[in-house]
Amino acid sequence: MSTSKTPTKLTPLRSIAQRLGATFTEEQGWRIPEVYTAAEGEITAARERVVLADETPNGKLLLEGDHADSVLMDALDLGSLQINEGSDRIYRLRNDIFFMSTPPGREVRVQKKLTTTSAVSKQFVTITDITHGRAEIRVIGPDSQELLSKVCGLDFHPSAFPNETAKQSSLAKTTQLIIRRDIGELPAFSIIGTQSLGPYVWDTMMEAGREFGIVPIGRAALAALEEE
Amino acid sequence: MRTEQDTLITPNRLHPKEGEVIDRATTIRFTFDGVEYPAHPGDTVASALTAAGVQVLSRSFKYHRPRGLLCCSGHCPNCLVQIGDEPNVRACTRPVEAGMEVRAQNVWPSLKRDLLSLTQLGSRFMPVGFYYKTFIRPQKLWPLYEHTLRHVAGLGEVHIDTPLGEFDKQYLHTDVVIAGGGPAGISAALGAAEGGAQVLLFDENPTLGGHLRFTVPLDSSSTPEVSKDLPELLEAANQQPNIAVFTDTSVLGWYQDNWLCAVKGTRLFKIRTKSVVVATGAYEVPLIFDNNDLPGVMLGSAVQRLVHLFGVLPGKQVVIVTANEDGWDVAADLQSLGVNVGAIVDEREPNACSSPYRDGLVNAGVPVFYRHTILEAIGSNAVRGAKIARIDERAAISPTTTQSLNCNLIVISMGWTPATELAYMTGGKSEYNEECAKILPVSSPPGVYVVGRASGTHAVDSQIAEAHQIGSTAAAFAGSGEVNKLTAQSSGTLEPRRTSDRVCVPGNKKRFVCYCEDVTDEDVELAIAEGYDSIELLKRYSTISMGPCQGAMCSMNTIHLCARANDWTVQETGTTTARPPTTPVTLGALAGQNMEPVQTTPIHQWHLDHGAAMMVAGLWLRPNHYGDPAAEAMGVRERVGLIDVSPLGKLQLTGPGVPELLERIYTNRWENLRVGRVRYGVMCNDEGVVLNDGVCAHLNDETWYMTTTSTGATTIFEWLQWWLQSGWGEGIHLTDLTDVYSAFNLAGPQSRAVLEKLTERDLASKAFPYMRIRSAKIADVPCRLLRLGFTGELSYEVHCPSGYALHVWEALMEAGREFGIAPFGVEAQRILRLEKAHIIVGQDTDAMSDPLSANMAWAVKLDKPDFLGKPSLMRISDEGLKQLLVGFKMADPDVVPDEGLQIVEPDADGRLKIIGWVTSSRFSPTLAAAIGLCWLPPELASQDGAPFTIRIDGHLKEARVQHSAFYDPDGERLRM
Repeated sequence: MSTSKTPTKLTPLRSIAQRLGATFTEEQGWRIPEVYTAAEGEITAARERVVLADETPNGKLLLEGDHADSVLMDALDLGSLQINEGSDRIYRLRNDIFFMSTPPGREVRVQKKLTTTSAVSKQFVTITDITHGRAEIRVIGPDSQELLSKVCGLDFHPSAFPNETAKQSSLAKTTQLIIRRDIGELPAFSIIGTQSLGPYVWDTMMEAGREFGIVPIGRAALAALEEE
Repeated sequence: MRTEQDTLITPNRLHPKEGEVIDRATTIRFTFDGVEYPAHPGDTVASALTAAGVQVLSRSFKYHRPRGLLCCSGHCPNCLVQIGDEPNVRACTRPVEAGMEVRAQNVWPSLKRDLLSLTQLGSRFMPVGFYYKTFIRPQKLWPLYEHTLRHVAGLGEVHIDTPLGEFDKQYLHTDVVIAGGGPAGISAALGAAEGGAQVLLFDENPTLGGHLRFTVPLDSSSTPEVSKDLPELLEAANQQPNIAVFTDTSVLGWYQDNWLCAVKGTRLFKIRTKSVVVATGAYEVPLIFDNNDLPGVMLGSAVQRLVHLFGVLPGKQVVIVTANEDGWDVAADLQSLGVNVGAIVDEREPNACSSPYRDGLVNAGVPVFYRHTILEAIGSNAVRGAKIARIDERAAISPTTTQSLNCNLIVISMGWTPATELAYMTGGKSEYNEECAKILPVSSPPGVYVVGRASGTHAVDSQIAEAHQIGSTAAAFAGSGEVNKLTAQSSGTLEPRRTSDRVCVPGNKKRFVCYCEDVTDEDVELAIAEGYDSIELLKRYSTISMGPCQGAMCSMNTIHLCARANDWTVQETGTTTARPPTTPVTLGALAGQNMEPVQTTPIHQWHLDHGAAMMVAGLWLRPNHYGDPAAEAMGVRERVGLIDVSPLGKLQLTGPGVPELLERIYTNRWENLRVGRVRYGVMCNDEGVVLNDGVCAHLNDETWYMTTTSTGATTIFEWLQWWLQSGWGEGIHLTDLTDVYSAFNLAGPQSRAVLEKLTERDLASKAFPYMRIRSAKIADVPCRLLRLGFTGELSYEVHCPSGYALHVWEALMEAGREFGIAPFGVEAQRILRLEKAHIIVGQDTDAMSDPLSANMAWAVKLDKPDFLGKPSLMRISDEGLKQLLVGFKMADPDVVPDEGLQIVEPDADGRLKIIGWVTSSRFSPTLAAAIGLCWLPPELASQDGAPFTIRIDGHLKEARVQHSAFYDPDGERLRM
C-alpha cells in the first residue's frame, strides 16, 4: 500500500525560507527556494556584499577506508590529493576519509559506481550517502570572509584557504566542514554540517552578517551567478 | 548652533585652535545627574562637563571622597559614571551623544552631598584589610554585612532588567600586530609593512598619534622638530595597503603562541599573529601627597589633552609640580593660552633644568620654586590652593619653609612609567634601570618586540627610527623581509632621570596610592607591617592595582613604597604579575554574540504548528507535550500515537570486525545475533558504570545499525572512535547517521493497522516479530523499520531519510486518522516507559551506577571472555550490591513524589537516616496510581511489596517495592 503523493524532499532550512517569503521550486525531488525578493537584487547583493544560499540538495558521499583513494582513482580517474585538498568536488578530509559533493541527484549513480568498483577490487571501503544528514549553506560575496571571521576561527584569506580546499572546524560552536568554492572572482564558501543544526547555523550567520547587509538568495540568483 | 547661553555655561572652553577634535559648529545637549549641559560632537563626556565648569565627576570607592579628572586618558577610576543602563563608563574617553543621560554612581543621595562620605569620619577604624578582620563574626550577620558593604563600597549598578546588548566577536589573522598607535607604533607598522608583512595596528584612542596629538606646544616659534613627524607618519600609514588600523581598540591580553585579544566597543577580536610589537607607551605617574585626590589635581598630560584636543582649560590659576622637562612643557602650553601660571614647583636644582621654555617663562614673571615640592592640595571639594615646601640638602622636607599658593588647578608632572603589561604577559623579563628610574623590559620571547616609551625610549625621533627597524625585524620574523639584529631592548635615548625617587610626600591627611580602592600610603605601610611584605601579597591584601586602573596609576608608586618600607631596592621588590585584561572589559564583549547551538528535527515546525510545548534535551528542542500528556499516554495505550524520536543516536558499523567490537563494548552477547534481529545492550566504562544504552540491529552480513540515547549520541560516537583508533578498529568503519535518518515511533495497539496502509511489507507478527529490523517503503520512501517496545505497546520505529521526514510523518498521521492517532511528546513517553519500569540512562542512573545495581543483571554476561567494565562488574558481583534500582508504588495514588526526594528510615535513636532516593516518578493514568523508580538498600529492594517511606515536604509518605513492571509485566502487548 502506498499513498498517491510523490515524496518531496525538504531541506532543514525550508521553514526559514518560508518565513522569509521565498517562492519555491523543485530540483531533483528537493523543494528549494527559487527567489526571496527579486533575483536581480539578490545577485547584486552577492556581488557587492554577502549572501546565503541553501544548497542542501547537493549530493554528499562519505568514503572511508585505507584504500578509498585507489577506489576513487579507479572509478573516477582521481589524481592524488593531500589532506584538505580538493579536486572535482572530492575532498580528502583524512588519510582514509574522503568527502564527495555532487550536483543534486547524481550521488545515487556515483555511489553505485564506487560501490561496484570497491566490490570488484575487493577493497574494504565504505561509501555512505549522507545527503539527507547534512545542511549545506553557501556563503557568497566579497564580505563573506569578513562574515565568516565572526563565527569561525579559521583564516579565510585566499593565501591560507585557497579555492577548492576544505577544512573541518568549529563554526558558531558547531562542527562544520567548510569548503572554499569561489564563483569566478567572487569568494564563496560551502558550510556543511549536521542538518539538525542547519537552522541555527543559518540564523547565526544571518545575525552576524547584518552589519554587511546580508540577504538570502534563491536558486535563480545562484544559477545566474554560476553562469557568469 | 552655539548660543550665548552656551558660552555662559561653558566658562572653561577656550577659543578655537588647530588640532582640536570637536566640531564647534554643532552643539548637542546631554544631562549629568539631571542637569542639562551643552557639548560639541567630538567632546567626551568629561571634556564637555569640564568645559561647563563641573569638577566633581564621581565619588571614591570606599570613603566617597569627591573625585575629578586625573589622567583624562581612560586609565584612572576618577571619572567613572553610569550612562543609561551601562555602569562604570569612563567619562574621559566616552564620546558624548545628544540626549545622553549620564549619572554619578555609588552616591547617596547625590553626588554633591553624598552622605556616604561620612565613612571618612571612621576611617581610622577602617584601615586596609579591616573587612577581612571585622566582618567574619558573628557568621550569621554576614548577609547583613554583605548587603551594607555592597551599597557603601562599589561602582555602578547593572539592573536585572537591562536589555541584552548586541555584542560579537571576530577572528583576525595577520603577520604582525602592533599594539599602540603612537609615533613608535606607527613607525613600527610602517617598518613591518614595508617589509611585506600584513600588519594590524591597534590603538585605544579615536585617532593615531599617541602623545603627539596633544603635546605640540601652541607657540609655533618653539615647535620642536618632532611634531612635524606626525602628519608624515599618518600619511605614510594611510597610504600603506598592508596596514589595517583599528582605533578605539584596546589590546587586552597576550596568550600563548601570539594569540591576542582586543576589544573595540562591543566587539571582541581574537587575533592570531606571527609576531607582536608592543608600543603601548607610558603612564604618567601621580605624586602622593596630602589630598592628592582633590578635584583640580591633574596629571600634566591630562591637562594637555583637554587643552589641545577639546579646547578646554580645567583651571585658570595653575601651580605646576614637576621633576622633569614635561612640567615646563605644560607651563609653556598654558602660558601661551594666557593662563595665569601661578608657580612652577620643581624638585630639581636650577642647573638640572634644561627646558627650552625656561627663560621665556621666567622672563614672563612665572615664579619658579626650585628644590621645592608640594605638601598638600588645599580645599574640600576642589582645589583652592597648594601648600609647598623646600627640600633640604638631605632630600628631606623642610617644614619651616612651608608656604601656600593660591590656585584652582595643580598639575602633576613627575615622570612616566612604561605601559608594559602586555610585554610582561608574553613572558618578557624586566629590570629596574637606575639611569632613568624606571622598570624596563630587558628581554622578550622570539617574535615579541617592545618599542617607544614602553621600552624606555623617550626622544620621539629615536622612537621613530628604532621602531621602524624593529618593525622590519618583526616582519622578518613573520616570514617577510630580512632579519634585523635589533632586540626588544631599547637602544634609544632614555628619559632623563628624575631628581629623586620621591613618590610620596609625608603629611597628616589622606594620601592616596590607589585611587580605585582608596588605599593610602599608610595602608601600604600597615599591610607591610602586618607581614604582607612581598609585592604580590601586598597587592592581594590591599587590593592595590586590582581596581579599574589595573595598576596604571598605582603600580610604580606601590613598588617604591614597598621597597622603602622593606628597605629593599626596587629591583629586589619586583613587580606584580601582569594578566589579561589590561583594561576593564564588559562581560558582554567577552561573551560575544549569543551562540548557543540548538538542534531541531526536520519536523520541528510541524510540532510548533500543532501546539507543542517544546523542551530542551541536550542541544535538542523536542516536543514535551501537545497540551495533555496524560491523554497522549492513554491514546497510545488505547489506540495509537506517534512520537518524533529523531534525536536518537544512529550509528552504522560496517566490516568483519564489528561483532568482536560489539562484544567488547556491550555487556551482553552479540556474536550470535542473526541478520534481521535487534538486541538491547548496555555500555559501561572501565569502572563498570553505565555509559549508555540502546539497541543494535544486524542489517546484513557486515552492517550493523546501532541506536544510542538522544543526548549521548555524540559522546558515544566519539567514544567508539577513540576505541577504533586505539587498536580495536581493524576491519571496522563507523559512520554517524543520526542526522541522515529521522525516526518516529508509532506505538499502540493500532500501530500495525496504521502502518499497513502505507507499506507493502508484511507486518504480521510472524513475518515481522518483536525485536526485528526490516527495510520497507513507507509512503513510497525507503525506510528502516524496527519493532521495539519502549512504551510497552506494539510499536514500530520508522527511520526514514531526513529530507522525507515531514512527508512520512504526515503520511503516518493521515493514515492513522481513522484510528484516532495523536502525536505524543516526551512527557507521555516518560509516563509510558515508567509504567513498564524501563530505565533512562542519566536519569535513573548516575556516574556511580553499574548495570547490576540498576537491576539489569539480565543484560550482563560475566561469562563472556571480556568486555569493557567486566573486571569492575565481577568485583561488584563478588562484593555484593550496595544499592538496587527498583520500582515502587505509592500507598496514596494522589501523592507523586518529586524526583530526587530522599527515602528515609528511623535509626536506633529515632532519627531519620537517608537510605535511598527517587529517580523517576509519575502519576500513571493507565493504573491510576503514583509510581516510580528508586534506589534502595538491596535487602529492602529485594522484598517485593516491602514498605518504605519517602520524605515529601517534611512528611513521611508510604510506598511499596514493586519488582515487576507496573503495566503488562509479561510483555504480551509488545508481541501482539
